[in-house]
Amino acid sequence: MNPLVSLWRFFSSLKLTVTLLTLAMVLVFLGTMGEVHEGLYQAQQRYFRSLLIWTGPSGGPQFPVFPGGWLIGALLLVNLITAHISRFKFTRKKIGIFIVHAGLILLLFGGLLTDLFQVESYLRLGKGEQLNYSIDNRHNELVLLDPTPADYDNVVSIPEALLHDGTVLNDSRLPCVVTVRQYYGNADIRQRAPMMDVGPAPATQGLGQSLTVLPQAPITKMDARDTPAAVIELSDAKGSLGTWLVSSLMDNAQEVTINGHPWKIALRGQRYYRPAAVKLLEFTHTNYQGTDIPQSFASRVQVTDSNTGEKRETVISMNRPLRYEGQTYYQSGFDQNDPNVTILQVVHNPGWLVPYISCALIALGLVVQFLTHLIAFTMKRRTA
Amino acid sequence: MRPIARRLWRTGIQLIFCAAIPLLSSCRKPEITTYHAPKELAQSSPAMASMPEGMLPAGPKPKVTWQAPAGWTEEEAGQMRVGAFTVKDAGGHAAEVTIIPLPESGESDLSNVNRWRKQVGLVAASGDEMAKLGSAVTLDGAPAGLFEISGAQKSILVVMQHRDGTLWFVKMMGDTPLVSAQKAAFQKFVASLKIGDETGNVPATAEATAVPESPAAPAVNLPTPKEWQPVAPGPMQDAKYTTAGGAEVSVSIFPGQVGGVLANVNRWRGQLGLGAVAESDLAGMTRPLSGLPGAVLVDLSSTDGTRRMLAAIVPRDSQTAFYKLTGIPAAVEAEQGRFTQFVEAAK
Repeated sequence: MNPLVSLWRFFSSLKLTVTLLTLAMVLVFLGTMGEVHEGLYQAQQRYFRSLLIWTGPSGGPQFPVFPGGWLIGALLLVNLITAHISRFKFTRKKIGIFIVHAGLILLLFGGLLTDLFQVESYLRLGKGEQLNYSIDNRHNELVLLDPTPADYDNVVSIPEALLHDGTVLNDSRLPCVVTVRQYYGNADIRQRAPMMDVGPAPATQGLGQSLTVLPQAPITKMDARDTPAAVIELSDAKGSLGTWLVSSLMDNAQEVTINGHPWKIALRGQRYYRPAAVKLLEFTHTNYQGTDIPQSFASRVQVTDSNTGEKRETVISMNRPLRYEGQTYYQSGFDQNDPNVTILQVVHNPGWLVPYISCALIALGLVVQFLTHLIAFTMKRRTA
Repeated sequence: MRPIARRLWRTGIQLIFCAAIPLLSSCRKPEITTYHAPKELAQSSPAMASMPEGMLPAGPKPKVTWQAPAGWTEEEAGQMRVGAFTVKDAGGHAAEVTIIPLPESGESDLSNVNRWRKQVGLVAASGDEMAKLGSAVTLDGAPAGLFEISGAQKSILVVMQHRDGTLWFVKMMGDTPLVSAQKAAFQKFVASLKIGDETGNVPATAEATAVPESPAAPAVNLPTPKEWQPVAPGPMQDAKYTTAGGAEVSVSIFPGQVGGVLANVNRWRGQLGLGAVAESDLAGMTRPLSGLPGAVLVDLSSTDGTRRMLAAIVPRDSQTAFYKLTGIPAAVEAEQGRFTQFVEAAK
């Protein structure tokens, strides 16, 4: 048999559908169990946002043991499409089923689109504060900033994913060679204590000379995030400039002179700058009577768009997000330590309409299919 | 092709296709990017403050008490500050007063002063010039430096103090006529400041405080010179004094060798912005103390010449005593003899 025909049959087979659905059920079970120890985010990454689930001894070789969510989802999508093309014959009677299948395909495709392209970040604003950027929920960046331009900073951003022990980054976009001497996925920092921290300081320059790094286990709670740190060596044309300790716990960037030019270096939550700056005018929240359980939050904000000059006030509350320039601002919560500080979740999802459209299609398909059968049945009865 | 081989070939192709489909959709490689970021907005909160709930690092701020001069309006302190005020006059001039503690960064005082000079449009000063720009003041019973940086339009008055690993800034920045007029009020305000711990416990004033008694009392008999004023010791300190010239003397006693001479000398060098030295360099920078076998004295000065430290490491049975005299070079020079006698006489 022609291998292509064989491949087509494999992808369009009902056996594959059943196998994939079974695997999906097992995957959901494994992922749910995994959340107990790994936390929701880690479990999502490991079980559902992966091609394969790897396991093995800590620090040793890892082996794939089960298909991940991406693999199962993609195969299901291909299976559905190929099965539809192979078996479905377009007739008036089956128009409803056709629409339902189209809705399902769109739903799977939308899920993939969201998984690949959705960006979640947050804004934390006190009353009167204004920010023109939001900070990624999980990802961090090592930045080198050139603060000399009057109106803006030139930023060279190195994604956290490129920071590993011993990595040497020699890129034309960087002002110097960046060597990662040590990378900590999650670490606390504290002032070096007299008599306790008698070993060498983690860095030879900047704040790290007087700090100590305390490596921590990865965070598994949903309401907290890892605070990475790294010891970075910078080298310019004259040679090594020394090492700097950077941590997402540090408030400010540290000053560095590279080839005689002032720069700043920092490790921080990845920022997404936007033309629209959001200012908190007022934040109100209420609890259910006699409890600490939040009943409702509402943030009155002013949005100022530097591109269009638009300035407008709006209220963001639970179930009433603000949609502006492709971003959706949800009322997420407030700072438990300071109830005047609001936390807004900012979601950029290019496929946010897809689930609505697919659900509408599926509903429409079901109605059409039902009516088709109903009409046919009624007509048959009349004829009889 | 034989049936089994054909079947294997077919299965292999199917598996390759299975893996290729999601691979094609997921090959996003992280890479270095560049972008222009707008300058931080004036009202924006600091980076740390932008973390959502539960993501803020633990770390309560020290509490500070003060007596604010008339006409100053207290403002919300914010994330980094422990106190903030605004001051305005009838002429429309305005200034802001802030109290900020920061972990010691190793950055020199000269670097800080030159940053402020740049902010008010002045050229950077050299180390020699800086010595003339500052004057010695007292902040909560400990020596500090007052710097007046006057620009044509904006001026800064700042008191800077190195205190137990924390660098304290009390700063007034604003329109030059107002800052100039408020100098006396600012100094009075600085004199009224009392720095407490995170729980809000403000140590008693220097005048009222003697070295605390047992259980925190030192395990040595300290023949304190009458010229020194005892003050409340900081964390891990057994005794602490201030001198008439504004220098600070501290005594810490620990069990064991606590790292040895080299590690401690390098730690102190780090505090003064100096690089680490090797074991072989120690002999040239330490000297023995008479009557104290194994004890060494080290004399260190910061690169910009603004700070000096005399430190002694004295092994005592199963313990090690650390004595430190720190301050501006002139104040340390004045107390050098008394400090050496103090260390050698301590039993």
